[in-house]
Amino acid sequence: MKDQALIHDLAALARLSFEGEAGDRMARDMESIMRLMDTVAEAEISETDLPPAEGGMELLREDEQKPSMAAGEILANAKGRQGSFFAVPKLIE
Amino acid sequence: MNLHLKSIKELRGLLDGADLTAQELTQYYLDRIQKLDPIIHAYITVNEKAMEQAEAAQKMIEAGAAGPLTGIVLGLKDNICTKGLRTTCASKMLEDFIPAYDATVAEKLEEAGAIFIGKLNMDEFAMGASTETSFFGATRNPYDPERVPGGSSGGSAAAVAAGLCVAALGSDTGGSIRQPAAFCGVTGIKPTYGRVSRYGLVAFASSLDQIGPIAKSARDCAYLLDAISGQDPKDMTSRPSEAVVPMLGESVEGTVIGVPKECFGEGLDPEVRAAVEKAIEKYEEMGCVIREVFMPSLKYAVPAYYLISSAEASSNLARYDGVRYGYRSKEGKNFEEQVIATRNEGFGNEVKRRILLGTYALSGAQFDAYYKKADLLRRRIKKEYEEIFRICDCMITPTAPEAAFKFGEKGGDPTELYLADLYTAAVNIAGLPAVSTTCGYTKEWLPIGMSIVGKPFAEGEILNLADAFEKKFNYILNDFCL
Repeated sequence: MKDQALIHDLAALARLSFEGEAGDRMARDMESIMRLMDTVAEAEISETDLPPAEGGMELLREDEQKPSMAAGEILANAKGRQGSFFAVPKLIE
Repeated sequence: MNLHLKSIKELRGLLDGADLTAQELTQYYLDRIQKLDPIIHAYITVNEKAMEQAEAAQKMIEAGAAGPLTGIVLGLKDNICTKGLRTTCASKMLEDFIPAYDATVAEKLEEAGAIFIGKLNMDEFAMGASTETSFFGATRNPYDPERVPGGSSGGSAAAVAAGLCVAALGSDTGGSIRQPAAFCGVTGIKPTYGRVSRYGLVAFASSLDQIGPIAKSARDCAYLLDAISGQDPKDMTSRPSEAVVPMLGESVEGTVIGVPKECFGEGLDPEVRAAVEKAIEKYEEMGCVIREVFMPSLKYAVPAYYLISSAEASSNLARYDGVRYGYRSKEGKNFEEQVIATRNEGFGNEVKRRILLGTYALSGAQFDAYYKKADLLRRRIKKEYEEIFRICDCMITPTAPEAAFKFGEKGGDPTELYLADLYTAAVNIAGLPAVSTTCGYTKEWLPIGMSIVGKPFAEGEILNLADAFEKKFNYILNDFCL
């Protein structure tokens, strides 16, 4: 992950952005981090001889209708609200 | 009376015997926080309603309805949601977030009559091993305020060590309870994945996160663990479990302890090695059987952990867009630009690094090489533990490669701090329980921790082993507790 272009693309996917010096610093940090992560990429391993992956879905509760929180409680932490709705800037110009 | 040095059992005796009220105990800790926390900085928020909880607890005591934790003053890591009480995750993103509901652990402790004195500092979104990534500033180690308390539950460990609460809850994704417990000279247990409900714990890496206690002793940890354990309809990964307190005090003679060779090699500080080896000898004197064991895949544990946890974090933290809660930037001409500005301004650098790493590991071209391989290694590490537990009852390792380091000492390369998880991350990957307790001190009188790792849901056995050691160990108090 050496180049700024890749950092830029990943940042776009992650809804972040890094410009100028911040981008250079992040590229340097990520290069060092990827050197450590490459140990995993280089490991010799396949599915053979491994126990099966666990599902963990066996303890789902019954799908029952239960009371919801009041709209006011849910909206209390929102920075933008109109009536009982979350308010955001325009999505379409 | 030095109430901050007393165990939960001793405080229980004072409270039940009417020698102390829950309000007096709460005021005692509020006074200590006011006096000492400006130096330690363990608390992000002190609970203004603590005295109201104390009054309710006192009524329970007077009505003869007290349980083990009624009237006991606790601190909670600030990623555990508390209804009506600010929960920040030590991030600008949640600086003024007030949850509309309680985490299951908070609900259980409140029902048990515990008092929440405040919310404790941590690394931002639990990502870090020093508490230096907190938006609110770092916590200091009570054994040496020039050094870090560890992390991410550094506030919880420092508060217990400095006597700023009786005990605390932390959370552990890759070592975040055990490493700060070791650095601050206290005891902390990361429970088996599923023993404690994660409902209301702000998610970092959902397949690894667990809430657990940090306290002055294994016995105090056991009281908290029993109070917060249990299956919860709100967390489908939670499971029923047996109480651990009744298992304390049993003989440890004949227990087979595995000592993994790979945990005593390169990268381990000689003073830490000597202290842990001496503790192993002590167990041998108690009649335990020591066996050398091997974990050839341990070298992959740290990178595999960072790939899995960062992949999950990149997904879990996608929710922070400034719409429903949390920080919202004033920049941006449209919705998309505002979301990007919100995340840029709201998250710190370490959180951004983990999000980028996770995004990279999950991206189409890299998925097989990184995330899938890390998942396969997770299964191999788990298999290696299973093989060891066929011949051993538990394992002992150092908790961290070294004792508490100085602030800024590891600021240059982010991977230097990642290696602090060398002996702890594999335990999370395998979903096992592990307790860290103090087993020695360096020449500079910094605490050294050892970890006892158990089979799934064997918290009773490992806490009993820690308790047996603690009874024979000579503790050195830090200046704040004297």
